[in-house]
Amino acid sequence: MSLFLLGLGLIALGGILSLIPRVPRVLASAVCNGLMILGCAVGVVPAIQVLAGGPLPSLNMPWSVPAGQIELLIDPLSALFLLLHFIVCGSAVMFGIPYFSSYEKTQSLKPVRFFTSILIISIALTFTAQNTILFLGAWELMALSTFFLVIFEDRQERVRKAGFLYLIMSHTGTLCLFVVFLLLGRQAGSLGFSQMAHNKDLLAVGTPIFLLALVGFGVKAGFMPIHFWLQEAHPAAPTPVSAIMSGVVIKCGIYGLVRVISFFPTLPAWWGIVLIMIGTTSGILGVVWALAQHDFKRLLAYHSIENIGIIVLGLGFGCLGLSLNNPVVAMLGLAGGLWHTLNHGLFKSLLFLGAGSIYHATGSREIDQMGGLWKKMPWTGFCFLVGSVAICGIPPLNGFVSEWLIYNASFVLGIHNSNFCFVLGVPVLALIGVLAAACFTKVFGVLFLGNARTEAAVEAQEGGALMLIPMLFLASLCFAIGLFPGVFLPAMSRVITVFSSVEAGEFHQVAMNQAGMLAWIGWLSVGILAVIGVLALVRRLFLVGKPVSASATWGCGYALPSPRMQYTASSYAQFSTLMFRAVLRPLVHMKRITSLFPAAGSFESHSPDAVLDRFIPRLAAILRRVLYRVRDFQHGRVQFYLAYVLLFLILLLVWEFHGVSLLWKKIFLLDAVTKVPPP
Amino acid sequence: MEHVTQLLLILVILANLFVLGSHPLGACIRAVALQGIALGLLPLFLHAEERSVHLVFLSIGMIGLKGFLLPGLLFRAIRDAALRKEQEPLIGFNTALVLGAGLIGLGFAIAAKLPLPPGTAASIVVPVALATVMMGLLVIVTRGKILSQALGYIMLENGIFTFGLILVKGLPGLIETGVLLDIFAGVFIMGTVIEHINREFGSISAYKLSNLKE
Amino acid sequence: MTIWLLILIPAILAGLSLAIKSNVSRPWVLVVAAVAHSSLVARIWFLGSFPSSGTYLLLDPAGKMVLGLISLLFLAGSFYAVGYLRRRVDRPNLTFVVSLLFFLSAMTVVTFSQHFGLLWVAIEATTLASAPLLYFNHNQRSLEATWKYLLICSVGIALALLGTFFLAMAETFNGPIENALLLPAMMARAGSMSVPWLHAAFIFLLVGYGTKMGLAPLHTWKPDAYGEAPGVVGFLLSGALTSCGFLALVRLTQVCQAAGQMDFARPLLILMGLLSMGVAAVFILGQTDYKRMLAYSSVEHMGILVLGLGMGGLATYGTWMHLLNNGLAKGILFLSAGNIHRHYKSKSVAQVKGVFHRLPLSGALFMAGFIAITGSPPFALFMSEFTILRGGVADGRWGVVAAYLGFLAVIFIGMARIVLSMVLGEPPKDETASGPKDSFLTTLSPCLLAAAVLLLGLFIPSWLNHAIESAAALVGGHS
Repeated sequence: MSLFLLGLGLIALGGILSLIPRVPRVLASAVCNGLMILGCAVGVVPAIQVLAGGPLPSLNMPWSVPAGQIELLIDPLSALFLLLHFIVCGSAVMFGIPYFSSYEKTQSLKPVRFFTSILIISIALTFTAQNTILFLGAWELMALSTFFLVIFEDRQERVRKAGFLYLIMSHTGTLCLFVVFLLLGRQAGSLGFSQMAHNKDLLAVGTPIFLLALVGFGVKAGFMPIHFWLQEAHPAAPTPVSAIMSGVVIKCGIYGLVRVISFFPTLPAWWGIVLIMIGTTSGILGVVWALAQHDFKRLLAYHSIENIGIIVLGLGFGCLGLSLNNPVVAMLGLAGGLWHTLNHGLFKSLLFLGAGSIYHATGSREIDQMGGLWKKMPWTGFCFLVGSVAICGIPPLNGFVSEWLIYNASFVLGIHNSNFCFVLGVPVLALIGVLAAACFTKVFGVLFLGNARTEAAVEAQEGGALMLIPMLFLASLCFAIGLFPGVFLPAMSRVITVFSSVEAGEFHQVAMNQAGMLAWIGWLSVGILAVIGVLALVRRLFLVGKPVSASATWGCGYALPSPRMQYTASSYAQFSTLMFRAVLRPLVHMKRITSLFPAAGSFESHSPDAVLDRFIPRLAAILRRVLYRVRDFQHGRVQFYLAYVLLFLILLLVWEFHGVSLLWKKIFLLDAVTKVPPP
Repeated sequence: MEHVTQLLLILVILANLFVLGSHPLGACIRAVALQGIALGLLPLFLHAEERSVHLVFLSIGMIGLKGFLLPGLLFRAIRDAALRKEQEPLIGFNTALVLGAGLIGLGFAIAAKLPLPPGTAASIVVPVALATVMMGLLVIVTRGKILSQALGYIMLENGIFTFGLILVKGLPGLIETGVLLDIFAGVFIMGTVIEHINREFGSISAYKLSNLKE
Repeated sequence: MTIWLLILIPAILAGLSLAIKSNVSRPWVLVVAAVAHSSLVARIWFLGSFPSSGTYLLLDPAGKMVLGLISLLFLAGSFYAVGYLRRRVDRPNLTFVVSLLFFLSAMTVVTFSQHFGLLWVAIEATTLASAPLLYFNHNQRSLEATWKYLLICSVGIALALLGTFFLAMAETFNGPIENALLLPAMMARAGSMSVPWLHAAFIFLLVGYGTKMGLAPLHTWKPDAYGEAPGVVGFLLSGALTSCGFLALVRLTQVCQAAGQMDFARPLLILMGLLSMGVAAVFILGQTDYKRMLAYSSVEHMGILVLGLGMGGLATYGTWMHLLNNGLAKGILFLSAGNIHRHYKSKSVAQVKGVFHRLPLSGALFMAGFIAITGSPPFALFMSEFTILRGGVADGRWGVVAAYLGFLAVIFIGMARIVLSMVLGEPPKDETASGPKDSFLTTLSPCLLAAAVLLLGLFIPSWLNHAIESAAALVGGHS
C-alpha cells in the first residue's frame, strides 16, 4: 500500500507545485509532469504485484465525516483497472508535454496540470475505495476534474457545449449511484464494501440496484442510448485528455458496474440477458455511427461506444454463465469482457495519441484534409496502424485475444444450453469486427496513404521523442498481450475471483483449460508476424538490383491528377452508410452537376447523433413550452403573490380540518418503515 | 355585556364588508378607523369581570393607534398623492362582497373545528377573527392602489388582534408593547416606502410595480 | 452579560456610526462590530457555555448553531461590504450601515429568544431592519423589490403572530398558566395542550415563518429582493436571515414533538420542502438573470432544510449540517456574483461571458460556488445533502427520495447551463467600458468561505460535529 500511496503523493505534489506562480515554463513543465509520470510508474508496481498473485494491500483509517471511512483495498479487480489507469495516464502525461507547449503562449497551463493530477488521483481512489462516501466522492471528483480538462479551449462554442453536456450527464448519473449505494448500504447495514460483498440480503432489492447501476454507470461508460455526451466531449477535449477519458474514465463505468454485480452472491439470469442486449446495441450502433464520421477524434469516440458494447457483451455472457452455473461460460465471458477493458484502454489511448500527434502536426481534425502522412510521420503511422489492427480484433494484436474469449463464451453457451439464440453473439461480434475494419481501412487509408490534400498535411512532421515514446510504449504492450496471451491468463482468472458468486477452485481449472487454447493463439500470432516478415524479405530479394519508380498513388491514368480526386472518407464509407441509412439518416447537402458546362458542384454529408441531435431537441421544445406556462405564475404583481399566500393558507386549513391530509399520508408515508440506521 | 361584545364584533365584520364593497378611499379609511375603535373597546367588555389598569391602558393604546394615528397617516398619504377613489380593483366590488361573504362562511367552518376553552364568552370571536384576517388579505389581493393595500394590511392586523384579545390575560405586557410597536414601525416604514414610490413612479398604482418578473 | 453585549454592541456601534461623516471610513464600523460580535460568539463556542439572561433569553444548542453561523457570515460580509461600499462612495451609506448593524442585533435576539412572542418581535424587527438595505440603490427596481419584500413579509409575519396567539390558546386551553409561550415551560406541559389549536397554530406559523424563510409558494418576494439588493445584502439575507426563519420552525417542531404531534407536522414540512425544491427547479431551468437564479437556489435549499426537518432522524442531523454549509456556500455565490455584476454592469446571463478570462478569481469562485451549492464533492454540501438522502432511504420514504433526486438533477442542469455560459467563452471586447476588477477586499471573504466549505467537506471537527448533533437532538435528529 505504501507504494501506491507514494505514487499518489508524487502525483499530488506535481499538481500542487503547478500552482506556484512565476516559475519558468520549462522548469514547471519538467517538474510537474515529471513527478506525475514518476508517480504513475510507482503506482503500477503494486497493481502488478497483486495481479501476479501477491498479497492484497489495504488501508483502513477513520475519517471524520458522517458514515465516512478511509478504506482502500487493491484486490485483483482494482489492480487490473489500476494497471490500465497508470499506464495510460503516464503515457498521456508524457505525450502532453510537447502537445500542450504549443498552447503556452495564449493561455496558462496551470489548470491543466492541476486538474490532471486530481483526475489521476481521483480515478485511482475510485478503483480502490471500499467505502461508499469515499467512492462517490472520488467518482464525482473525477467527473469534475475531467470537466475542467474538457473545457480547456473554452472560447470555442463546441467545447462549451460538450463540457456542459458532459457535466450534466455525469452528475445525473451520479445521483442514480447515490441510490444504488444507499440501497446496498441499507440492506447490508453498512456503507462499507466489505459488508456488501457476499451479502444474501442484497437480492431483495436486486432489481432497482441493477437498473439504477445500469443508468448511473452506463452514462459514464457510454451505453447506447445514454452515450450522447461521449462523442461530443472526446473530440472537444485536448488529445491527451481524450486518451485518458477514452482509455480510463469510461472504464470507471465498467469498473463500477462490475463491482456492484460482484457483491451479489447469485445473479438473476435476466441481468445477463439485459447486458447482452445493451452490448449488442452499443457495439453495432457505435461502429455504424463511427463509419459515418469525418472528424477522426469523433470517429474514435464512437468506436469507444462500440468497444464498450463488446465489453458489456462479454460481461453479459459471463453473468449469464454465473447464473446458469456454467463456469466455462462465466470464465470466458467475464475474463473476455474485463480483458477487453484493458486491451481497449491500451489501443484506444494509443489511437488517440496518434490522432493527437496528427492534430499537433496539421492543426486539423478533418480526415479529408490529410493524406500521405505515412511519408511524413512514419512512426506515428506505424503506431496508428498497430492501434487500428488491434481495434479491429485482428491477430497478432491484443484486441483479438479478448474478443476471441467472448466469441468462445457465446459459442459454448449456445452449444451447452442448446439454445440457438446465444450463438448469435458470434455473428454480432463478427459484424462489429467487419465494420470496424471497414472504418479503420478508411481512416488509415485516407490519413496516411495517397497524397497530401492540404498545405498543412504537406508540411506535417513528427512531434518529437516525447510524443513517440508513449505511443511506442503502448504499441509494444498491444503486441505483448497479442503475442503472449497465456502469460496474462492467470492474472485474469485472479480478477474474476472477486465475484461473490465465483468459486475460485472451479475457475482455476477452467482457466488452465483455456490456457492451451490461448497458447495456440500466441503461436498463430507469431506465425502471422513471421509470414509478414518472410513476405517482406522476399519482396526485398526480388527487388534487389532492379529500378523502382515512384508515381502518384491512385493516379489511375489521369492526365492531371489532383489530390482532391482521391477517395475521401465519405466516398470510402458511402457504401456502408447507405446500407445503414435507415438508422443513420445522414443529412446530405449536394449541389448536383446539371448543365453541359457545369458550375461548381459540391457534396457534403454528416450523420447527426440519433439521441443528441434528434431526440433531445424535441424533448427540450416540449419542456420549454410547459415551462413558459409555469413561469407565468411569477409575473410581477404583488397582489397575485399574496393571493398565493391566502390560497395556500386556506388549502392547509381545509386540508387539516377537513381530512385531505389522509391522501398525502397515503402517497408518502404509508411505506415509511423505520429501520435502525447504520451506526 | 355579552350583547355589547357581539355588537362590537358584528361592527368589525360590517366594517370589513364596507371596505370590500366601496371605493372612496376616505370612507374606507374611516371604516377601518371605526373598526380599530371597536377593537379598542372590546377588551373592556370581553373581560368585563376583571377590568384592570392593564386592560385600560391596552384599550387606550389600541384606540389611539388604530383609531387615530394610523388612519391619520393614511389620510395624509392620500392627500399627498391627491387620491380619492379606488379606481382599478382587480375584481369588481360585487364580486369582492360575494367572496367576502364566502370567507366569513369559511371562517365559521374552520372555527367550528376549533374548540373553545370552557368559560369563554362570545363564541363568535374566533370566526370573526379568522374572517377579518382573510378579508384583509382579500383587500390586499384585489385592490390596485398600494394605499388600499396598506389599509388591507391594517384590517389583517385588526383581525389578529380580535383574536389576541381572548388571550390578553395570558400574555405578558412586554410582548404586547413590542407587538404594538412593531406594527406601528411596520406601517410607518410602509408609509415611507409609499411616499418614495409616489415620488419615483409618479403614482401609487400597484400595477406600475410589476417590472420585476420572470 | 454576554448576551446583552452581543445584542447591544451592534446597536451602540450603529449609534456611533451616525457621528462619522465620511462615506469611506464609516463602513469600517461594520468590521469593528463584526469582529467584536464574532469574538464573543467564538468565546461562547470555545468555552462550550450556554449563557442565559432571565427566562426569555437563553442559548440552547439550536440557537448556538444559528448564532455561530450568523456571526461568521456577518464577519465575512463586513469585509466585503467595506470593499463594496468603497466602490460606491458616491452613494450615502449611512442608512445602509446603521440598518446592517440593527439587522445583526435583531438576528442575535432571534437566536437567544426562548419565548414565542419575543421570537416574533425579533423576526419582525429583522424584516424592518433589512428593508432599507434592499433599497440601497435607490432606483425604481429596488424600490419595487423593497415594497414587495415588505408587504409579503409583513403579511407573513402577521400570520405568524396569529399563529403565536393560537399557540398561546392551545397552551392556556385548560385555564390560565404561568409563563405562557415560554419554550421550556411549553415543552414540559406539551402533553396537555389542545391539539386542534396546536394544529391551527402550526399551520399559521408555518405559513408565516415560511414566508420569511422563502418557502414555495410563499417565496415570491425572494427573486425580486435578492435580484435587486447588493450582493452582500443578498448573501446575508439568504444565509443568515433565512436561518432565523428556520430556527423559528425548529422551535415549532420542538413543541410539536413534545406534544407528540409529529405525525401531523411531518407531512406538512415534507410537502413544503418538496414544493420549494420543485418550484425552484422549474424557475431555475429557464432563468435569464443570474441573481434571480441565486434566489431560486435559496428557495431550493430552504426546501431541503424543511424537508430534512420533517423527515426526522438522520435526515435532521443532515439538515443542521446543511444549514451551516448552505450559509457558507451562498456567500461564495452571492459575493462573487456581486463582483461580476459590478464589472459587467448587467444581471442578464446573456450579457456576461468569459468571466474566467476577465475576472479569474471571481469566475473561479462563482464556479466553485456552483459546484458546492449543487452538492458535489469535495464540498461540504455533498456530505449534508447525502446525509439527508441517507435518512430518506433509511426510513424507506421512496416517494420523497425520488422527488428529491429528481429536483436536484433538474436544478443542477438549470444552474449548470447558466453558470457555464457565464464563466466560459470569450469576454466582451471593450474592457475599458466595464466596471472595476477584483480587489483584495471583495475577494477575500468569498475565498475564505470557499476554503471553509471545502474543508468541511473533507473533515468535520469533532467539536462541530458534537454541536450539530446536540442541535439535531432537539428535533429528533441523530447521526
